[in-house]
Amino acid sequence: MSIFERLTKIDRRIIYFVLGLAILLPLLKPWGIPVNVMDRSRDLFTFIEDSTRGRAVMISFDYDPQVMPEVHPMAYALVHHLFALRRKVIGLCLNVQGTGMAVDVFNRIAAEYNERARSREDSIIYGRDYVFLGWKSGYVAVILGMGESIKGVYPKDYYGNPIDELEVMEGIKNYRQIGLCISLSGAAFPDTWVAYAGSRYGLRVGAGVTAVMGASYYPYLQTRQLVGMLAGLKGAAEYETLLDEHNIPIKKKTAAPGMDAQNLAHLVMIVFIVIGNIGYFYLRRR
Amino acid sequence: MIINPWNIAAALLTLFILSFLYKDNPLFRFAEHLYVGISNGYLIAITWHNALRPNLFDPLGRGQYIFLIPMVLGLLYFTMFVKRISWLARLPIAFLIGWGAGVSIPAYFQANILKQLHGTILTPQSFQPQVSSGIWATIILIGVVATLTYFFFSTEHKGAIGRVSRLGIIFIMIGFGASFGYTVMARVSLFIGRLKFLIEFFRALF
Repeated sequence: MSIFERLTKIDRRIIYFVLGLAILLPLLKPWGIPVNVMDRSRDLFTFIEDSTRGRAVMISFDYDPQVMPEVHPMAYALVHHLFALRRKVIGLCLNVQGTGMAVDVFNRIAAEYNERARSREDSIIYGRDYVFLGWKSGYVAVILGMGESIKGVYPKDYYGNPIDELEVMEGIKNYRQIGLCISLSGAAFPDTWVAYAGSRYGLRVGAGVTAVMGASYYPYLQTRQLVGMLAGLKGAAEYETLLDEHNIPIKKKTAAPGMDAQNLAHLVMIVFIVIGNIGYFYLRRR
Repeated sequence: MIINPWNIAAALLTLFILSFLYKDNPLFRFAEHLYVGISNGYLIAITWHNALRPNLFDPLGRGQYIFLIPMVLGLLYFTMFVKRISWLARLPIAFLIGWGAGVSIPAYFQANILKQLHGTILTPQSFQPQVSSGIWATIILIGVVATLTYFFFSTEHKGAIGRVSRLGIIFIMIGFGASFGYTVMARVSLFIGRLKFLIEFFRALF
C-alpha cells in the first residue's frame, strides 16, 4: 500500500485519539488564545445595553441537557449581564426540559450577586428583580397568548406564586413592555419566536443556538429579524469576553476556557481533511 | 465538584459511552439503553406533572367538564390501534392540522418569505452607512438568484442558464461547507463539555 493510499485509509481510532489529545491537553493547561468577538454577538450585547433600558427582558430557556455544554454558558453570561444592568428578567421555557436549566442558571447567578451584595437594594431578589414562569404545553399557543396577556398564559409562576403579586411583573401586561426576548435553544424555537412574536407583535428577538443551527439563522440576522445571535460555545465565549471588556466581572467563566481546545481541535480536523484530500486527488490522478 | 453517587454514575456512564469510539461493546450498549429508558421515564413524569395534571385532570377535578372535549379528542388518537374504528383518529388530526395551518401559514409566510424577499431587494440604502454592506447585499442577491436558477428544472441547464446554475452550485457548496464547519464545532463543544466534567471529577477524586 503506497503512502497516499494509507493517507486515505487512516484508522478512525487514530483520528479519535489525536483529536481527543488535541482537546484534552489545552483543557489541562490552557494557553489563553484571545477570543475574537464577531458582530452578531456584539450586536446582541449592544442591543441589551442600549435598547432595553427601562424595559423587561425575556429569556426563553428552550434547550435541554443534551446541548448544555454549548447553550448553558450563554445563559450564564446573558443572565449575568442582565442582572448587572438591573434589567427586569422574565424566564420561561418552551421546552419542558428547560425548566431545570433555567432554575440552575437563575439560582447560581443570583447567589453569585448576593454573595458580594452589601444591602438589600444591591441584591438580586426573586420576585423583585426576576421571575421564572416555568413551562406550558403548546408552545405556539403560549407565544401567541403572551402577546395578548402574559398573565392569561401564566397566572402563576413556576413556584406557584400568583404573578400579579410579584413586584417584577408590575406594569408588564404583554410584549409591549418587553424590550427583547432571547431564545436559547437546541431546536428550531427561535424561528417560532420570530414568526409568531416578532412578525405579529413586533417583539425584538435575539437567539442563542447550538453551532449546528448557527448557519441556518444568518438570513434572520441579515433582515434584522434577529437583533443578534450567539452560536455555539464560541458565541458564549464571545459574550464572556464582551462582559470582560465592559468591566462586568464574571466569577467563573464556563465557555472561554474551552476555546483553546476548540481551536486546536479545528486545526487537527483541517490537517486531517487536507491529508485525506491529498491522498484522494493523488489516487484519482493515477 | 463533590464526589457523590450521582457524579460517579455520570463519570462512569460518560466513559461507557466514549468507549464506543474504540468499538461497540456491552458497556456502551448498557449506557445507551439506560439513557433511552431514563429519557422516556423523565419525559413521561414531566409531561404528567407539567401538562396532563395541571391542564386536564386538575380542572376536571374542580368540575370544569368542558375539558372533557380535549380529553376525548386526545383519546381518539389511540383508536388508530383498532383497525375497525381507526378512522376516528382523523378527527383530532384534522383539528390539529386545521388549527396549525391557520395559525402558522400567515406567520411563516410573513417571517420566512416576505421578510426574506425584502432583505434580498437591493436599494441605494443597501450601500449605507457602509459601502461594504451594499457589496454583501449584492453577493446575497446574486447567490439567491443563482441558487434558485439551479432549482429551476423546467429548462435544460445550458448556455446562460447553465452558467448561472453552476454558480448556484458554488453557493450551495459554500452553504454546505459552513454548515459542516458549524457541525464540527458543535460536536467538539459537546466533547469539551464532557471532558471538562471528567477532568473536574478526577481532580476531585485524587
